[in-house]
Amino acid sequence: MMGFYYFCGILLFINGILIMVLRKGFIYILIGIELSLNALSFLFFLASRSLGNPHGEIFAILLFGIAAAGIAIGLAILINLVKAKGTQDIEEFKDTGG
Amino acid sequence: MKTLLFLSIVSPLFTSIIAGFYGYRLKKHIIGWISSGGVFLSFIFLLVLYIKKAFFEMNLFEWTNIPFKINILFLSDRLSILMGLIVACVSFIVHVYSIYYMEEDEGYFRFFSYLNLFVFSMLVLVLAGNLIVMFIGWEGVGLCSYLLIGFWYYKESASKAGVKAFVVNRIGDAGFLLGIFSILFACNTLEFNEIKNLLNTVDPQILIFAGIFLFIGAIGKSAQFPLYIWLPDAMEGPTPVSALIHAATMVTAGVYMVLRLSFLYSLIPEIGYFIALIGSLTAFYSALCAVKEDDLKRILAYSTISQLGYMFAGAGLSFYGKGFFHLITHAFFKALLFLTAGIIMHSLNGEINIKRMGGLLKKLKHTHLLFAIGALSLSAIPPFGSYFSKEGIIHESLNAGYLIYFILVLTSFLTSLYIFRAYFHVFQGHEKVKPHKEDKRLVYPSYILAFFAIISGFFNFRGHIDSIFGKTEIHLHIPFILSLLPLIFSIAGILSAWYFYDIRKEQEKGFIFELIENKFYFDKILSVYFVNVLFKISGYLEKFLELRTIDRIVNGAGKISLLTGKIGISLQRGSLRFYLKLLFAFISLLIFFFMFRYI
Repeated sequence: MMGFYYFCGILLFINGILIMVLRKGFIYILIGIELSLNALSFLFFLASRSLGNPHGEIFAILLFGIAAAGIAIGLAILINLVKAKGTQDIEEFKDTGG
Repeated sequence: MKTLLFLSIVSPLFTSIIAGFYGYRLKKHIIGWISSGGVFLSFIFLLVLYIKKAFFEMNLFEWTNIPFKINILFLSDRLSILMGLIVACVSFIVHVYSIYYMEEDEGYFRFFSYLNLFVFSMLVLVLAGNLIVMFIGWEGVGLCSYLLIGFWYYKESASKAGVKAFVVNRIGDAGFLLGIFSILFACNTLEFNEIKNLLNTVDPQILIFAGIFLFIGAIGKSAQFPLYIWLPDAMEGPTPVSALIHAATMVTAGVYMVLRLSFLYSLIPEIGYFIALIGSLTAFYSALCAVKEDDLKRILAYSTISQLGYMFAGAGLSFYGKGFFHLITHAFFKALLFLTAGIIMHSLNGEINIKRMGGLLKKLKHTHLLFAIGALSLSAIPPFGSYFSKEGIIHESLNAGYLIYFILVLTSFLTSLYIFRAYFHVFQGHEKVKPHKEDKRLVYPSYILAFFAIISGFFNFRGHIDSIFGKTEIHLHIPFILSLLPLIFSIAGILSAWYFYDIRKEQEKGFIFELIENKFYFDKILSVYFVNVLFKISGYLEKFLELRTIDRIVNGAGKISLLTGKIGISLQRGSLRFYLKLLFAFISLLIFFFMFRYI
């Protein structure tokens, strides 16, 4: 039964990455990052349950904090991007060079 | 007793924090007195320790024990406590002096905070019980030196001089660290007392390396020959700083380190001779520089380098007592000279070029007396303290042959020549700039130093200082004329300074100054016989080596990097999605690779 949960977690992770790669909107990319991070913490949690080791849970909690910080910075960048060009399509920002 | 030692180290740190964080709220003089009080407390505590002969090791706490044990260890023995006493004493006097000297400066509390921090670091360095704690103090004084040289940071020259001092000191510190590592490699411990017991069992080859590396550290901090360049520039800082840090205490840290490790250096006398040679050559060379210099503070700086050379000569030839004795007397009279230079600068609105001074004898009577005491001490004239110490070093150097002896004797001639040249320029002749009245509050602290400069000769009464190092020096039977030679040369220096100083023209005449002005015609000889030949050789080399071989290699390298750059540019598209695709593609490739490898 554990294998099924692992499979779900990996599926979620790949889903997040696909969103990041395929969508053009900046918000979608942020959502993709969140999704893959959540999948990761889910996997950590799962592993800590199945191995009986609390470290995974601690790590999952840490990841929540990091994800929250990441999204805060991401939203700030988003606001600046929209202010600069009036769109959130990242293909429009090729000239920033990064 | 352990509490006393702890308090004596910590109290300057405490007052430094008060001055630094709360200084802007307090009145200027109050900060100054609080800071001086902190230093005075540590002086009193150390004095109690010294009088009660409380000599012990104090282990504050264990810092780490991976991969080897390092304790924050302090050591109280006669050497460290006596050195600490000198540091605290001179620091206290300079603190009191700078209460009034820095009166009109805006960064008043910053200055006292740095100065106290310096005293704290210096006491850590001096009272350290192992090499790591010493290194902490070593870096601490380096930092404070940097901060105080660049104290007037809005002056570009000052901030550049600070950076220069810091960078040059880094070179020495690298040597010091290598020395620490080689000691650790040899003895597996860094505590002085343990090293002392283990040294006899150690391979002397490693000891030679350790000795050389540690001496490189000492060169950096004590401004000896290759690394002396930072000290003359360090005079950009405020004058009390020059008196305290760059004359009396910090620059002697290198000598102190050699003295602290005297048990190591006495096992490798050949390195010791090398040290003495470097020291005496530095003494001679920087004395020459001082004769040529016109800037009063830079003259004193070169003179400090020169006197440090004497100390190294004494310590290198394993007359540690004599070296330490000269360190003590030098601390007093050189600080005194700097403080009087500060008074002169104050009363002349910051004028520092001795050619533009003159005739200060009538207006600055106290300063004249103080400067004369300092100058006579520097030239080692009998009743003054430094006569006994310097004479001691020069006499004992006869044990190691005539070379170092004659260099040192010649240097003592130059020493009295440059300092009395400065004296005649500053105090005799016509008045060129009208001086203000001298500040009495600056004169009184200087008198204390003058008092110490006179009596410091008695510190070695009945070999008191010599006995710190456990052995009494071998006394050669010196011919009478040789024993008088240093004194004769010193007096000859004073007389020739008087002879060459032409009162009407107010500048020197005579062949010595012509020689020095032209750098001993060294450049001319070099350019005729040496440089022209070199130019011809390098012309041929340019044709064959430079243009036909090296240039092609260099251009080829440039072309290759241009080509790789073109490939790299095609990857740099600026599209976030492209980067992400690339990233994940490579990560999945890696994962597949490892999966097939291990499954």
